[in-house]
Amino acid sequence: MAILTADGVLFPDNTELTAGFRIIAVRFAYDATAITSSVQRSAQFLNCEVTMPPTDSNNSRYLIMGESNIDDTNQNTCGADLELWVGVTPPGGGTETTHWVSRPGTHSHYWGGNTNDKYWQLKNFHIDDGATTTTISQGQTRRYRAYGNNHNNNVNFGAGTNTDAGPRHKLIVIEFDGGLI
Amino acid sequence: MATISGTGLSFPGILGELGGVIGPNYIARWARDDGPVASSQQLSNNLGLEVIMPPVTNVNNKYLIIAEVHTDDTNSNTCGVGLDTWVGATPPGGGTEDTQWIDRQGRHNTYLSGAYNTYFIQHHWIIDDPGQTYNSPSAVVGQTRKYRVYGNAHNNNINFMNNNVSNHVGWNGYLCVIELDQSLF
Repeated sequence: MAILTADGVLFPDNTELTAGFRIIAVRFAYDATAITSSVQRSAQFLNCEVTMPPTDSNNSRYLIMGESNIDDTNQNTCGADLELWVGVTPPGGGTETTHWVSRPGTHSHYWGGNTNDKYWQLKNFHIDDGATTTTISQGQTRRYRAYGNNHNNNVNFGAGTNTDAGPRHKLIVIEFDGGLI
Repeated sequence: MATISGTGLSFPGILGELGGVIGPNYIARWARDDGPVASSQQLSNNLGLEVIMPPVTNVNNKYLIIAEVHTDDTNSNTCGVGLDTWVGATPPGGGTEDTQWIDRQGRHNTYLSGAYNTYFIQHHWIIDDPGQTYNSPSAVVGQTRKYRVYGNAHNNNINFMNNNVSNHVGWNGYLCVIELDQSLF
């Protein structure tokens, strides 16, 4: 219950007042570097990482939005995806555990036998609810990254796209109050 | 700032002092268009997707921009597309609008050479951090920020917001802008 004081109004906490319609935190990272695949079917860091503030509650959920693009380097069979990763440190510190939030697979965007020049947009839009990573709990630190993966070792991630300007790889993470989900 | 009236307290807006405390800490605006809009040039084409946000209340607020556009090539030949996000910032009280690109995906962002009948669904999302993200103009209290998404066509052979997608139901293109309170960052 709110208390009227001599110079204002005090609320004991904001839990009841904000339940169900509050965004907790937003973090984002951009990078504009073209990254050439070096190993097929191996995740490559796209230089986008965000560290979220300590998890607000056990009910928090994380919306993750990743975007990049590829160009095939030799006009041949190719495939790629954008993968999301999280490192979770327990409340108060300790050993970080790392997990894949989402790996669509290097065939998720793929064209076999096409010898034309091709560019694709890579995107991954995912909610981390702890089910495929590790249980979300108050006070954890969750660190998210975007990776690119490829099927035939013949792609450039964040390729120049003629008239592009600004970031080529993007990672946006939004922590939602559980009541919003 | 809150003001005392004869019957209580008044707050200037939901992203004011109490944003995220007793009210939402975001404001969303969106626009849809069912097109189609034919490319008329190889550079940026205004897709008619525009939203005007409420006057800026905090210069540190940021803007999450989300866009989706369906495309079809008009001649079943080499084609490429990208979406460009644009902002027009009008000073408090009016005056000359400062128009800038927030970023540009580039007209090769999705691309295929050769003689194919090609449809794409192009997405774009970015956070506009005023004064920081590429050419984004700095925010000023009272400023009005107007956002648009443009379609960029590599070979001038694209119908944006194409409505000829078999079995498609729903919008052919949209732009959503969410103002996020500075306390979230």
